[in-house]
Amino acid sequence: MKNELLVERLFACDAVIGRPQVPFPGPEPVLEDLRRRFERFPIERALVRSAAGNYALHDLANQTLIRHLAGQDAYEGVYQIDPLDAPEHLDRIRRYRMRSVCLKPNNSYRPFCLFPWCCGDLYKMLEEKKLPLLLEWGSTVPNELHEAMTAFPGLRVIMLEIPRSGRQCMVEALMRQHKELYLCLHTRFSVFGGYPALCREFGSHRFVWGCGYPDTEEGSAVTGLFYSGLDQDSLEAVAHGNIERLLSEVKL
Amino acid sequence: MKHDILEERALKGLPLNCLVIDAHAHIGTGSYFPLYANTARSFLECMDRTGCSKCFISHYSGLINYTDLALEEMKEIIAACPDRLHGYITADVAYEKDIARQLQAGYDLGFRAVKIHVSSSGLPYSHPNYARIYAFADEHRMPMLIHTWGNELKDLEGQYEKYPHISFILGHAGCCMKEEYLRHARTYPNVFLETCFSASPKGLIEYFVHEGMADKLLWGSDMNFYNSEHQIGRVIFAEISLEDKYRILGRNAARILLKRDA
Repeated sequence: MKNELLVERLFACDAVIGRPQVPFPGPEPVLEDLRRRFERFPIERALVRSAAGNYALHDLANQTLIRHLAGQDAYEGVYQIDPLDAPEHLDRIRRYRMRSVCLKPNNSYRPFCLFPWCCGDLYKMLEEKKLPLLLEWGSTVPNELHEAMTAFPGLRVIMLEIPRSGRQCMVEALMRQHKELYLCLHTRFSVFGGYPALCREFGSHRFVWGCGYPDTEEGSAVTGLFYSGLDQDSLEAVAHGNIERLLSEVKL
Repeated sequence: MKHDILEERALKGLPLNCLVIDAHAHIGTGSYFPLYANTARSFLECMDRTGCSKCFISHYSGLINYTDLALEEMKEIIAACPDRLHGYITADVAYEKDIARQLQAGYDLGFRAVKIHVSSSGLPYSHPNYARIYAFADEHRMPMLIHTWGNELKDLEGQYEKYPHISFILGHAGCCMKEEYLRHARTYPNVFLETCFSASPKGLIEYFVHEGMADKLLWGSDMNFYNSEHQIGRVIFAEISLEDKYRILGRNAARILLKRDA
């Protein structure tokens, strides 16, 4: 039997830490639990968003995230940003040494759209700094994203929670038209034959990996990648190479 | 970090070296959405990667009122590798005149298990038309995989004791109302639980095992509707004993679907 693991390491792009609005039915998703679960696999690094950001504004999201991730640097926080006051956010991103951001347009008290007329100043800043923007498919209106990425072709977007019902024509159309759109292949993206087909169509450099912590069984995401039939170079790219490249190109 | 033999093999991308039987798969014309791959060959290639020996498949058309088309396609699909691909008998439950003929046709093709899906016709599992299917399965002492999503359990409960020779396998067990699935499996000796659930929630497999259901759980993937490569990881990396993993991955299915000891 081979002694080495199938890939050098895994870098999860979709972890969420902290207290959800409704308590999680299991151990509290804090750093200690995340570390325990990730250490079972070669998940050495992760981008981590704040659970509080799902029901509160960015200030609570970012403050709690910093507290939860303090004292280690394997798991990197994703700054929750807002369309208003982009320069102030940039100062904080630098101070917190984060290299990616997320947006929550479906905040129930104050929803906003992703059209360029609303978020253009923010996109300009993100495009200049090459800061990847993490979005969730469920809270993204595809047409708004299309307009945003058309207006700002250098804007890098990592799409999380892509739908798992087979071939998605809107996702494929967006991938064809926007070369800086990256998809996160995750636990729930359980699409038969999907990984190799998508890598063949768009190139394996367009995909990152995620495991849905804390909600899903990360082992499922590991085997979903390891048994997918991708060649070794593609596996390494998806597992860690692409996200590491994107983060290394951030110009703060 | 210490891993058991199954975890080690999965982390190295190697196929599992134990008996693995997929109790829940679909193929053919009639999927609800476009698929990347939909052939017997793609199934076998995937099974080779994961180490899955056998797969029990129901045809999509057979679950949405076109069993006759399903029978034609399944004949060829199963013929691609009859040792590894097994068919589920289906029938157009909303069309009473066709049920008996279609059940017999599936049986004549060599299929020895039945699949029913409530969405096909909108008829509840307590509808009189389903009685024909239950009677057939009971007479032939067949296992029956049943699509469930919680609400159907109340209609099924009345059938378990009426048809004691059927092994009722509740599909997507624990997708919701997990305590109710547990109650059914615990109360009735001929009720079993099938695992496939694309959301792959943390802890669900462990829940059923810790509640004593290790001998009643059958691994299933819902391939190619979803992907077996993800679903197998839920069992491999569940925080349960190696022996329980062996049971869930294949030994229970061997006993119930193949009617033999593994």
